[in-house]
Amino acid sequence: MFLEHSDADRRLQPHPSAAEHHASSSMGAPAVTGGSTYARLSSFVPARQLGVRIRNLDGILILSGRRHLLQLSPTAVVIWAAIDGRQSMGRIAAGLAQASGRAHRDALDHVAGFIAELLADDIVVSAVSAVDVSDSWDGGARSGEL
Amino acid sequence: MTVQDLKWLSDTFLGRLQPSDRDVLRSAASYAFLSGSVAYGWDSSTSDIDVHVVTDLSVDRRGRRLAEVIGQMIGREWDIDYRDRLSTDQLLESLSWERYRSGDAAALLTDDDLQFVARLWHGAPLTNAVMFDSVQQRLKASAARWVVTEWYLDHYDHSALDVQGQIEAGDNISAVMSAREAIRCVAAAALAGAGELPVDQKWRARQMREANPGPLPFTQYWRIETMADYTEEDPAQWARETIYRCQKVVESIVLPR
Repeated sequence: MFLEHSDADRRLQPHPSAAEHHASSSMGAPAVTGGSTYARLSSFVPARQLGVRIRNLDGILILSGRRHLLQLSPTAVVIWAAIDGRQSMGRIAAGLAQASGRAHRDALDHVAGFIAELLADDIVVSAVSAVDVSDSWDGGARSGEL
Repeated sequence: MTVQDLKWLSDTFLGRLQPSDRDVLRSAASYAFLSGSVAYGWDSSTSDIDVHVVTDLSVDRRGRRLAEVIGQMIGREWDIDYRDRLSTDQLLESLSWERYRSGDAAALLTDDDLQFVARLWHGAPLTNAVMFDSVQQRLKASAARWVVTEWYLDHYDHSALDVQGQIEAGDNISAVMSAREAIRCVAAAALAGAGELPVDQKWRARQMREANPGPLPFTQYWRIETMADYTEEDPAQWARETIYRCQKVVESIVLPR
């Protein structure tokens, strides 16, 4: 799994004002599970919320979302590091596939699953809801590599 | 500051006090220490001399007036802060590892406490050096640096959230101001995490250059602090990028459990 919901440390409770703020600031991120095509998933560009609360506890990265504390696995850390508001999920998955030796489709599944959790907790939002699949890896997706 | 300088300051300070005040400061229950630029060795000809007196005996505030007289004599102003020893002990207790792990230590730290802790951390003894050294060692063995790190991280969180809201509201110049506050908090957290408790903001650049903390090296900090990449055309972009960089730094500050 990418995440563990942690409630072990009071220092990391979701920020009350963040919860209020986030509740009114959802940017209408598209659903990335349940019927979306891989091409659409690939073109989705996630961006980190500026106000997300982050802590590194003894080497474990923990994000405070609107409802949960998310403890990131090593794979999730790689994906989180790539979320910069510019890279599409397809590109992030390509990086993960290269780093881990996973198949592209498997990597995209993992990236999509993780980002869906982050979207649900308002830790990331949509930077660009682009549908134009143009980067090289997505081109590969069109040609059946997924 | 050399040992001779400290002795001279100590003698000057004690020598000009009324005997009753001097007895207070020399008693086993009290100590005085220097802080600020003089203690760090960063003072200039215009720097004042910051002295803290910690005692559980009543202190005649004549010491404050005498300090002004001494200041006139040596061309420097003395700023003397008196603090109750019991409250100092309570403050140290609030910085224990147990309190740190309970998760509420940083939230209970006031601005005054934060400043005093940093001054004690970097201070140099003026009177009763044995007691001062003991207190300073107790502070350094406590979770103080991590409580202070968390204090600044918590304040960074508020600033980052402000940036988010201000950009969403289209108030981009306010977002820039909040982002500047955010990077300052992150720099302070990086310093504290490196065991260099941050002192006054006016010394932040110098402290960052000397400590050069791994999560935020001086060159990177200075580029943001001086807004080297800022453009009038897109203030929000500078604020956004600054927070992204802050997030990377925060991720690199490893807090002990």
